Amino acid sequence: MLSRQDKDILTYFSRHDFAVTERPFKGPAAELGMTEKALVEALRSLKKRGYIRNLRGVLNQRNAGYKANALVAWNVKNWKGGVEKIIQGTLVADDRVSHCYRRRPARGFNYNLYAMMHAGTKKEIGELAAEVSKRLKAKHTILFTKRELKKEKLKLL
Amino acid sequence: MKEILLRVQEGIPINTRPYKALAVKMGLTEKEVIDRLKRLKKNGLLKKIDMSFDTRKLGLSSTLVGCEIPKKSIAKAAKIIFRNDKISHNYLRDHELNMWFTLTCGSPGELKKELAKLKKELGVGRMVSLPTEKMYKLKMRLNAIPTR
Repeated sequence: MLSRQDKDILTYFSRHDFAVTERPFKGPAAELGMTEKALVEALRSLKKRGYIRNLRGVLNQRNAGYKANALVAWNVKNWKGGVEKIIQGTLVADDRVSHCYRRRPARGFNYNLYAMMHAGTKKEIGELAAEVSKRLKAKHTILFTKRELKKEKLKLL
Repeated sequence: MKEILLRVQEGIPINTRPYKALAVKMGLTEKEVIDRLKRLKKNGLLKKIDMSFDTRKLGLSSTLVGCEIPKKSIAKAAKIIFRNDKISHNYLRDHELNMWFTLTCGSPGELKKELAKLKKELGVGRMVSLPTEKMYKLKMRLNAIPTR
């Protein structure tokens, strides 16, 4: 269960980036009315309990040289027979894939497996998607990113 | 610089001097790590350092939404989406369904209501909602910087 304080902490860090200074928890602790030590302990507990995934750096994709980005969707018909193993061995293991989800398909868009791919060229993404399709014995469609309109943290609570 | 970019994407320890802990692992001083990270932020390679949360564990429901927006309405739709606090990401993609965003709400019921509201606001004909069933990977680790 989350305490009132846990919720305040999650709200705070969902709205603020993390500082690059010697003691980056000092400011947030003061704003939350806690000691630095108590905040660190509370955050560790939230991480241990699985509410916080990670504290990490996020790169600017375009500046990092990833000229081509795409959402790739597959229509996997049969989920038995080692499909998940193939997903693990291809999409999950590949560093060019950042997100991979199974989703409930919609009428008019009958795809149920999704991955976000990042590479230097569109061709590379096309080849990677085709390779995965071959292994999954599934059809795919590639939706190349044309423009990022919004990319924000979700503000919790 | 490349090593620090990889390490910082892997994660920063949660303790009172996190960059010192990172520095020890890399055989650098705390100041060197801080200076490098500041430089990487300044030149735009490193966007930010922040916390990521498990939205499912937090009891939230999320879905990926694709919609067909006429070219002349894109700017208006983008503005509506930008102002919506429940939407974190929005992209234009090369497809008939040209606008794609992620919507997160407190419950499946709230999600359904929000989708209906958005469909009206955006004035779209075709809209598909693809709720998350299982997460296989969520790791924004961009590895080897590709050669061009």
